[in-house]
Amino acid sequence: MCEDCGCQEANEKALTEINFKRHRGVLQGHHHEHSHEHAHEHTHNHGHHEESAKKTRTIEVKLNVLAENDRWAKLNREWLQERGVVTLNFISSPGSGKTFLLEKTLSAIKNELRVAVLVGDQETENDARRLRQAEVPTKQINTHSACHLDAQLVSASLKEIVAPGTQVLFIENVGNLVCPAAFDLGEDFKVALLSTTEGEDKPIKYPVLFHGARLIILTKMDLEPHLEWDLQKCIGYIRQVNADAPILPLSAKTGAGMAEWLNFIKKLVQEKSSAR
Amino acid sequence: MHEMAATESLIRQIKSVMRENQVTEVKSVHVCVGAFSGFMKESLEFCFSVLREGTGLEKTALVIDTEPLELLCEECGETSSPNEVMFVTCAACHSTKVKILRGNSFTITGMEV
Repeated sequence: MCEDCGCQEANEKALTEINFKRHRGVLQGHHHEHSHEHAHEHTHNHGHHEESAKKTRTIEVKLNVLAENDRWAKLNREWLQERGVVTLNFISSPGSGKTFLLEKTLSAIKNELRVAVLVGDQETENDARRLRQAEVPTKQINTHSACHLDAQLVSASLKEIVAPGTQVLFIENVGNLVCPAAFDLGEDFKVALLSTTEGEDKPIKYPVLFHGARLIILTKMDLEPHLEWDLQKCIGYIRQVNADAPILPLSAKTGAGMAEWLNFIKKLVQEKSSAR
Repeated sequence: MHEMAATESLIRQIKSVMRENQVTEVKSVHVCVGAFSGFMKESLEFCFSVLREGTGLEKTALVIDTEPLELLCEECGETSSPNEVMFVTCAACHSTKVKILRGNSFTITGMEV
C-alpha cells in the first residue's frame, strides 16, 4: 500500500523479478517468466509433520498481497519523480464534481503550467471528451469490471501523455470512496473530494480514504445555502480521521475558492522544481 | 469490488511460492487482514471461493486472521487501539496526531503444504 497515506511499505523482496501478464479472472494456464535471481529468502521450510500417509509442512511467508500493484506503483513514482511531475490522484464518490473541477482547473492553469490528465471510468470516453476541451494531453482508461484504477493500468498510459516538461499529472480515479484508496498508483498524494450534497459525515464512514488523503476539497459550496449542511461540522468529522490535511472548500461553478486551489497547485510545482 | 483484484493477486502469489518451494498441493493459506486495510474478510472469502476454480487451489482453505488498528500517539506517546476504526485518534488523549503501527496491511503469513 501507499507510502504517502501511511500504509505499510511493500515488501521489497516480493515478486520483484516477476512479470505477469494481466488476465482478468483467468489465472489457469497463465504464462509468465521470472528471473531466477528472485529472492527466495522470504520463504523457508518451517519443519516437518508426519500425519497419516502425507507429510505436511508449513512454509512461513511474509508477503504483502498487493505487492504486485506496489511494484508497479514504485516504478510509476520513480518515473514521475525523475521527470519532476507533480502527480495527484483524485478520489471521491461518483457525481461529487471531480471532472467539473478538473475542467475548470485545466482551463485556468494551462497557459501557466504544462499539465496532463488521466481519467478512469468503467466505461465510456465521456469524461475524457469533456476534459479534452482544454486541449491538454488527456487519456481515458476504461477499467470495465474494475472499480478502481491500479498502478499497472496507469503505467501503460504514462509515456503516452506525460511529455517532457510536464509539470502536473492529474489522475481522476473511478468514482468510488472505498476501493481506490487501497491502490497506490505512484502518485505524490491522494486528494479526496467531498461535495456538500453528500452530507458531513462521509469522512468517518470512509476513514481509509480520508485519513490517507493529503488534501481534502469540499466541492459544490454554491449549493450550501440550499442544503442543511454545516461546514464546521464537516471539518470536525474530517479532523477525527485526519489531523493535518488542508481542507479547501470551493465552487468550481462560481469560482469561489478556486484561487486558493490554483495557488496550492502552483506551490506544489514550485516545491518540486526547487527540490530537484 | 476490490477484493476481486486483491484475491487475483493473492492467488498469483500463492502459485509463485508453490513454484519456489516445489509444492503441488496447498492445504491452507494463512493471511492477515488489518482492520484499516480496506479489505473485508467476508468478501475475500467469497472471492477466493470463486477465483480458485481452475487454478489447482480448489481444495485449499483460506484462513483469515484479522489485526486491529494500532496507533502511536505523537502527542502523548501512548499506543492504543481505537474501539471503532473510524476514530483514528489516540484512546488516551484523543489527539488525532497519530501514526499507524499495525492494522493497515493485507499480508500472506504462511502456507501449509
